[in-house]
Amino acid sequence: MKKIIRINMSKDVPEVVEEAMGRYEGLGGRGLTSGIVSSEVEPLCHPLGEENKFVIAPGLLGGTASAMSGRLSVGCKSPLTGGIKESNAGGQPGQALARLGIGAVVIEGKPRGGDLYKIEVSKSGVRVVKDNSLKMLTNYELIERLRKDYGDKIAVMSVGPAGEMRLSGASVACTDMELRPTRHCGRGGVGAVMGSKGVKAIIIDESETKALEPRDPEGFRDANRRFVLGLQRHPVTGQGLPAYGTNVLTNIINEVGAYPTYNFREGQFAGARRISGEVEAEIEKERGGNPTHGCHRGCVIRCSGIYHDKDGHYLTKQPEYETVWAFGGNCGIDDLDKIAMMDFLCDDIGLDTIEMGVAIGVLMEAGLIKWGDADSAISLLKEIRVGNPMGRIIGNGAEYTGRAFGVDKVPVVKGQGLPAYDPRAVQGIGVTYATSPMGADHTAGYSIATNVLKSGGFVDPLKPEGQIELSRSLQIATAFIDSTGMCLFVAMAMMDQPETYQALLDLINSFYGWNMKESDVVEYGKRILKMERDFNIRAGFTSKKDRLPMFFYKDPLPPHNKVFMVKDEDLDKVFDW
Amino acid sequence: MRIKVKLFGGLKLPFKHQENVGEYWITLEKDYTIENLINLLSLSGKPLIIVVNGFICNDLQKKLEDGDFVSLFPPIAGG
Ligand code: SF4
Repeated sequence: MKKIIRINMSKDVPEVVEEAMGRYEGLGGRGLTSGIVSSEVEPLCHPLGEENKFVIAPGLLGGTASAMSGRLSVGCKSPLTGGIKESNAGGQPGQALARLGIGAVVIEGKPRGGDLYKIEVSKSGVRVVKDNSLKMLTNYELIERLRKDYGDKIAVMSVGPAGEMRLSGASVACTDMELRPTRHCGRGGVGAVMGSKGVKAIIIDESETKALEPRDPEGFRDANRRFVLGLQRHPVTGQGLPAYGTNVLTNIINEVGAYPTYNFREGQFAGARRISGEVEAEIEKERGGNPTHGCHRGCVIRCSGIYHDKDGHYLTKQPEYETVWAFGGNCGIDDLDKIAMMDFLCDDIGLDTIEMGVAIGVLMEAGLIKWGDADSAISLLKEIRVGNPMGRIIGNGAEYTGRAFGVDKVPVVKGQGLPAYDPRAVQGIGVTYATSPMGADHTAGYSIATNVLKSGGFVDPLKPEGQIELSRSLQIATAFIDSTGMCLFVAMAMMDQPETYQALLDLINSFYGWNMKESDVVEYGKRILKMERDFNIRAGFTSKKDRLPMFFYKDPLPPHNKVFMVKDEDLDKVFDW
Repeated sequence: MRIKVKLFGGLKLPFKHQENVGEYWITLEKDYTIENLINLLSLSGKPLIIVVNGFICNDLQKKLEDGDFVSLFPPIAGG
């Protein structure tokens, strides 16, 4: 039986209560965070106020022996978008929490003074401990401290200085297999909400936990075997992602003219090859890093890696595609070492790399620093750590930065910076950016798979036809996968191999004793999207929020010279099912 | 006619090329199709995604034209 742990930070001594899953039974990951936020959080509350809740939930298969099941979701009302937010990450905490039988941790209220707390979670229970000595430590500094105090059989979720300052670009860090704070729930300022609760770190004791027992162990083992085989057999999950990581996308997105360059002015970047996944993997091999590495135990795809500096010392985990783009082509920077340094700084200070890259692009648009000026970009990130006014402006994201410097070309939807695909050259992703309850988020309905990568068929990226249906079905499927604890990349194999899809259903069914079918998956996904949309409507969102910024409809993007052509009335039909 | 071929995602020509940057100008007879070109290259892997002058091409029988840019990718993904 899983349980929900509620921690009330408003009490003089924070109060911990355990309760049954109750009405949330059957939900996990995003389904659970969005379920709790949509039914318990007042939609009109201030995201940093005591009425907001910070919810952490491993997925349905978290804590089991199944491959790929360690992703964890955090949810809250977002300070960046003003709507509901779910942000997920890999790393060890998801498995660790789930193995302790925890379905969700809900942090509520807000401490009155300025004290900082850490939360210890172990087999013997949950303890909230005041520890002001952790104030303003960066994530890497914090982990070194915790390693000394607790040993290395722990998994940690934490906020850096950005979260403590409650900046809207702040992330929540999750430690990886090497106990480094490299995997981030990045989007939507979730770190600011954790920081607003006065919580610096959640330290989970992994030492005495073991995998959860399925209802039907035999069936579960068999399903897991088929699932892993399917992932290994598929060329993308079996070869492409392990060899080059997600940054293998740089070249293809650039070749099809959809690589947002110089703050979405152009669709191709002359320096793309130099920062591509192919080059990155070579550098990692040459310098003794590692191009094929998993972000958590149980990952068989291993899209991540380890990036060393010129002297062969650890610099950061392998910067992934979105990060390389945000600080790379988006800012006109073609130096992977500098980009890797920015990746490290974001992990250390606790920031979303996409939001920071887009914010710096906006600053370049304003003419404050020059396109391609990597050293100034690095200095700006360091200013966030110090917390001076300039740093705080950027740390609050692209929209805030645009307002501070009077820029009218700001690529955001619902206040959240656009990721690494231009919606004028891949119209399907524009539908997802515009309509996802999360704000501009590529993962919410990854049309690139079908618009460009030929997974699950092909829909012409340059035409408006077929994009609504594509984005709709992907958004529904993604809401489900984000609830299972599975890494979204399993979808690449599932879209092409029905038997791998079935294996995932069999994993869930044999674990819970359910009888879930494909049609139930669709209902599950729709139910989550409906809860999220409903929250946003109650928070004051109208269909006008489901639009791209005006310039995407007006300024043609070279080389294809297209604008975004999906009609508003069609965007409004995405959730009419 | 001359065609520029760009190789990505680990696709390689069977021999070491002097300008080993993954971009090659190739001279072909008239009436070459994409499929003919791919067969001629005998690459290290099978290309799945074919981009001609920035457009995704799903027709292996498409005739190439002088000055075309052809980019070839194996199955890849990310996000
Ligand atoms: S495929 Fe990549 S992101 Fe997904 S779990 Fe593995 S290492 Fe993490």
